[in-house]
Amino acid sequence: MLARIEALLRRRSAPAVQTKLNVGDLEMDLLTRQVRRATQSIDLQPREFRLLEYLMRHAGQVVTRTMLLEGVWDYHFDPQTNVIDVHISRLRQKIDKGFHPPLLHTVRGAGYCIRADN
Amino acid sequence: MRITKFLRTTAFRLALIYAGIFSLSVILLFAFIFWTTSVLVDRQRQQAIVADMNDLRDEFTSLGPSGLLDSVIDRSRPDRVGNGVYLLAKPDFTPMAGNLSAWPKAPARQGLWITFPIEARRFGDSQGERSIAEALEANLPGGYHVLVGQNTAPQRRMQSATIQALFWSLAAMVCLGLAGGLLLSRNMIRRIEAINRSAERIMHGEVMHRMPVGQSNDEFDRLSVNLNLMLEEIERLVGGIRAVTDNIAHDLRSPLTRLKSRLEIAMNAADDPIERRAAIEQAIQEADQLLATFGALLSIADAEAGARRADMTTVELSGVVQDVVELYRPLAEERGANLDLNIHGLTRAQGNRQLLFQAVANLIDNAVKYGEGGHNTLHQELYGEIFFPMQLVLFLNEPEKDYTGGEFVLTQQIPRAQSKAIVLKPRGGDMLLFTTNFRPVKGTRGFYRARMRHGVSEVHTGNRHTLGIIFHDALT
Repeated sequence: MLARIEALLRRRSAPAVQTKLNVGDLEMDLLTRQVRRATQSIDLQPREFRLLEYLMRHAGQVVTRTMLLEGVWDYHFDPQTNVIDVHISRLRQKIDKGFHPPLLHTVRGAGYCIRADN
Repeated sequence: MRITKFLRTTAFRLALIYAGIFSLSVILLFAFIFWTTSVLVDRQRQQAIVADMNDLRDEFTSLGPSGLLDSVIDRSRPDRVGNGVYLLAKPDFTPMAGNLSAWPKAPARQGLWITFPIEARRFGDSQGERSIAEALEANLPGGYHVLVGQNTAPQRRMQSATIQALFWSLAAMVCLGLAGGLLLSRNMIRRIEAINRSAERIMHGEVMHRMPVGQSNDEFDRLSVNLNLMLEEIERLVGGIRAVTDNIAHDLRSPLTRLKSRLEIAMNAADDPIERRAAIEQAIQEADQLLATFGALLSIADAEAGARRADMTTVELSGVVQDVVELYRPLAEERGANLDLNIHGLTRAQGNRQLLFQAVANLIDNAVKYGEGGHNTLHQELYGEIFFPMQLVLFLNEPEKDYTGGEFVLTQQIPRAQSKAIVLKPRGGDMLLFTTNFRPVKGTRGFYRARMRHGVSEVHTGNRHTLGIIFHDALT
């Protein structure tokens, strides 16, 4: 029992010291606020950085537009137009253009997902 | 009406309790009067006896035994004696004069006073009456005995008369109390029953029925007035719900119809995967639109219920506007528009940050949307408890020069027929005033009201700028 608790505690405390986020060859350093894809450094606006950070923290999961608006802009509402899509496409221009494979995927009718595999 | 119904009313019970308390207080009052008068009468009688005895002693002293004898004979004459009891006796207690046949044997003693039973005969009565006499006795020089007293019967008669009076007045009071209680409860039942009957009629579907209100403005009338006000408030709220339901039905009917037709297209296009996929995508878009409409309706309902009032805080408006501009700038740039923001000074307000953001976002969203391909579906702005009968649109730029397409479209519902479309193309600087809900239309038998909807057709090129003014109830 004690061993189980200790194991659980170890597992919980591990992500707390996480300073780097990785998806495929995309790497984000949360301390220096630098983003790299493969060997190339990528220059991001503060809002784009937060958008990417939110997506990478939910890597492999589908993130809806409402979730993004709440997590990145701190406003809770349902955007009528494709206002979020434009931000995503700008981010996609910076992290996916000229690289292979694409990491930022659109999930039709749901939202977006960042993941490394095909 | 049955008597038991009265007996069960609160008014009757109150009247009964009141009569009970009143009777108790009357009994106490009578007891007090009874006691004090008894004491008073006792004392007066004893004083009279003492005075009489002193008179006889004086007679004896001044006139001797024969004088006393005359006096006693004189006082005990049947036409004079009244309630008096006299006896003069020899030393061996043989009566000499007086209205007693013998000296009382073993009388009850209390101090100087003796009491003994007598059979007194009132003047003119043939039969005697058994009674109790109270008397003083004295031994005079020469061995004579004298006894002076009074019959207590009159006093007892007075007492019993008093008790009888008490009994009868109590009986009368209880009867009057019961009658008053019945009367009061009958009146109360009549008023309450009227209200109950009205309530039952309303419960059985006569929702327009109201409680009867009298002229007197008493508590029952006030109760009726308040109940009527409550019913009106309920009716107004139900009416509001009905209006909102109507609007939801109207707003959802056309997207649902489109969704259905898209799905039908998808079903029929089973052979062509590309066409099918396109139809399904369009169906999903319609479903998204429906969800968005639902979201908006829910937040309007929330705002009207006052649920969001708790979220009111001090909000920096410039910060909110900056956030909106920052969110929408890429979209605007993509559509070839510029978003410039000029903020002068700090602007703080009490409000809900989220709703303010959404309001400004909707404004900019609309502004950005009316570029190429933008349109506004046919609708009515009828949300809220109060909506104004008209709306205003100011046209800020010139059609055919700054933009093409983007006509202002009105549809007029014609009963039992298809809707009629009215397309307007005001010039830049024009103002359009149109009705929100209905418009009077002249028919063969006078005017009837036609339901109106409005919208904007697709903008083909350029950017269309207008300022729409919707009057809205700001208090909810």
